[in-house]
Amino acid sequence: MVINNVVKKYGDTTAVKGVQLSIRKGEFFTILGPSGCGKTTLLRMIAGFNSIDEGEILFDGKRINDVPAHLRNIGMVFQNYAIFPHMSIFKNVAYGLKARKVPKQELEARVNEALELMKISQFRDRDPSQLSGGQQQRVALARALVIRPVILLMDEPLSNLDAKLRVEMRNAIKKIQRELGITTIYVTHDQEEALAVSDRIAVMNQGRVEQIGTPQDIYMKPATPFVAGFIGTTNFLSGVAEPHPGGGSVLRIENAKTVTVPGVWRGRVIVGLRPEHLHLTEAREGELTGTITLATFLGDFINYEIELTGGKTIEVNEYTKDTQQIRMVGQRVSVMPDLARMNLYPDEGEGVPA
Amino acid sequence: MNRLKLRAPSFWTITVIVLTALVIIFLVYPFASLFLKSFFHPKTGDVSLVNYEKFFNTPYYFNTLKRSLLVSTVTTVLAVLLGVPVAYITSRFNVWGKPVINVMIILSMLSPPFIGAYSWILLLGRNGFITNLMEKIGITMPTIYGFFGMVLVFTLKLFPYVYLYVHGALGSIDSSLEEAAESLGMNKLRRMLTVTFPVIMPTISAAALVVFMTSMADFGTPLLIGEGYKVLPVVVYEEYMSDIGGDAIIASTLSTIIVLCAVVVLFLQKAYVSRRNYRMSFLRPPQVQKLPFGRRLVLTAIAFIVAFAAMLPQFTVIVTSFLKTRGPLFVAGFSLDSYRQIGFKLSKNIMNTFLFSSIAIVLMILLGLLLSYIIVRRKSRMASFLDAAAMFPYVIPGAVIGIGLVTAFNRPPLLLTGTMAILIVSYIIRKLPFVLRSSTAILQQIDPSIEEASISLGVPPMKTFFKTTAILMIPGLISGGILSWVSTINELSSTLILYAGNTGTISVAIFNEIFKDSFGTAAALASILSFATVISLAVFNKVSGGRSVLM
Repeated sequence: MVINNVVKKYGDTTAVKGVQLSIRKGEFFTILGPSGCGKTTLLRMIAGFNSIDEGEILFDGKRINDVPAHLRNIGMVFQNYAIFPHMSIFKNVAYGLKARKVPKQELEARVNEALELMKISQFRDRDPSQLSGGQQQRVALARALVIRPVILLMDEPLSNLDAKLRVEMRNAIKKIQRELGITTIYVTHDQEEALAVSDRIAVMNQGRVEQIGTPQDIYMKPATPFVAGFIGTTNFLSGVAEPHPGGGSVLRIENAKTVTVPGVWRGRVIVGLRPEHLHLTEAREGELTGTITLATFLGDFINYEIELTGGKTIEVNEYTKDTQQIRMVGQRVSVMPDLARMNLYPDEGEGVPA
Repeated sequence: MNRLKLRAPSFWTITVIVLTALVIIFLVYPFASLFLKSFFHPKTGDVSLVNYEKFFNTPYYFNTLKRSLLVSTVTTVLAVLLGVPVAYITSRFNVWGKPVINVMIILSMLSPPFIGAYSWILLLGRNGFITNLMEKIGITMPTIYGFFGMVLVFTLKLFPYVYLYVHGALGSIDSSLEEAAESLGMNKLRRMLTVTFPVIMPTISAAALVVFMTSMADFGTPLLIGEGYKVLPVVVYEEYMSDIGGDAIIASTLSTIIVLCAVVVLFLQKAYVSRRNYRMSFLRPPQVQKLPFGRRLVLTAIAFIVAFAAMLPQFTVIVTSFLKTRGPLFVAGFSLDSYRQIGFKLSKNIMNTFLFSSIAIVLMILLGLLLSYIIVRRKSRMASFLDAAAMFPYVIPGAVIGIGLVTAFNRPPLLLTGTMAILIVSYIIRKLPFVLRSSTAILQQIDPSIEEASISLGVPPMKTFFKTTAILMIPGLISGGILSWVSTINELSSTLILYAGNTGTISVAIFNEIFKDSFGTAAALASILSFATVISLAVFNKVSGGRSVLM
């Protein structure tokens, strides 16, 4: 499936600003972004509920811009499940097959198969109101899958479940997707969920795609400060760099002594460092130094909040397996960046993100 | 190639076009021409305010406005003073017989509007039961006719709105609000005045609005009991109806003034409420306070006395209907004569009432279904226009609706005067705002993604609507429709202007019988209406599963 420079406008505001994506067959593709970034709008354009103002969407090379929603053969799972409250579970799942005039015997067999797949056969004749949220979610999925759609769309399907059920359901969804090999586009604002289920992720912000990549890519090599800040936690520091005649560049982070980094960088840069990519030592001259203002013990690691000389606050994690003691609040420490894991961004005059 | 293919207009596009046409023909055209007429000089035909000058300079006309506003204001104040305390008693204390009190109050609210006036005349009128009784022991009762009677009848008829609205609001206040006030050191009375009542003020104002509008628009009651004390709708009716000396232009001027008053009051209430939109997190319902026996008895008695006073007209009418009569006189003993007479003379009216109301209600439910969908789900400029136009009759008194329709449709190509169609149209226009309000409320509770799910599963939009949303809306629409049906069978104001010889309804017949002094037959007809109302309410309760009668 290809999404070609797609644009959606609401009056004066542009919700989707020229998105370009191509999704492979059988792929679990996630669109991730904060609320209002345009991800749901984009999904609804694919489903046919929002018109496409510019650009085009292609399924198997065929342009579908003008195909009405009910003829697109798309399976959709909604945030609030959208189970038909006036129909039994069986009728809910059979609904799409009836619309396709599938003969009765085949219909029955396919519905039963879908119910079995989702492990909800025992609720076949119940009313939706008798089911829990997780069970309704399974019905919604069975109903979307039973029509054998060309693509499965899921709009924040887990956001109404409690934390434990969410993990259970996302594993179930992933397994079923693998099993059926169905192309899936999954929309969520939950970065952990996106990392857990996806083959690839597109991170959206303000109507644009900021990065497309595997979960590892996106976490380890975020393409923009926004992606770095949105996925996981990133400390942003300011730096000044200049190319080194012998290759790479010389970089000064804040007021620490210079280090050599790969790549050609010149002028002001933004330095992105995750809390686990920083190491603490006793305070040393010429390093990034600061005072511990908060220490939070979280079991497998300890999270420190450190106020650097100069006023900036950063987070550093130390793992319990690597260390014996918890450092005291008020202690002076130096912070050593893991240069190999550090990400640099050109500072385009907008300053360092908070 | 693809670009050349013209797509057929969708179901909803066609629906919007048809509904817009209907609104323009039956709403915009009649009422715009009625109101506009008042801005032209009656002789020269120029645009002028001469009619309004005449209105304000002629005490006969101008006084009617003052009287209408006075009656409605006093009624509203009294209805609030009666409804709020009784609602507080039944919702916060363990008084006996709460369900009975509620049913009595609901029944009195839904009774035919002018039955109150009629019964109070039977009791306290010139030849009333109580008047005569008091005369025998030498006490002369003050007259029931005029201002006092109107206010009495309106207050007892309309305080149930205040009662029911406030009862609902008091039951849904989060009790932690009051507990917070208590923990901050407020005593019970100050808590009530500083927390409870301010929080339900928007609700009280909504109820007060209904009371004010209804009492200002009603004209059955003032026609019966007002006598010399003429209010606006009565003069509108008289000016329009009287053959000699009647003045269609002044009737249109008066209509415009009364609608303007209603609009102003409506906007005042909306402005008041818009600054007080309290959203409450409803955690715990308020506690019902257990009272010691003595106080419990006193409060129960107060609630029952009020409910009984509200029900009294119904009792009176039913008892009267079984009295033996000779001509206009009641003689000793009971009989079914009155019923025999109406079976003989007026069975046509009875049939008409139920036929017209049933047709009207079916059409109203269909219109409510389609219109609310367009308004809620397919927002557009056209949808807002339809919404505003369909809600507008809420501020038009029934008599004005009647006059508007009769002047607009008394010549070909749309000659509807005297037909049952014009009555049905007027019922739909009058009650559609209520059906529409309840249907939009229902629709807002239905998840839009249910339809999207159906569409994505391959069912086209129109079929999807009828297979999902429409089915989900129907139960609510029907229970709402029953309540509109009740008020339609009791409709008098516009029917009185629009009916012809063979399209008379029960309410028209009651009205005419009263003026012929055949109190027995009038009472029998009114009892039939009351009976139909009770049955409808029972059906409503069954269908709605405990939904409030307030739409």
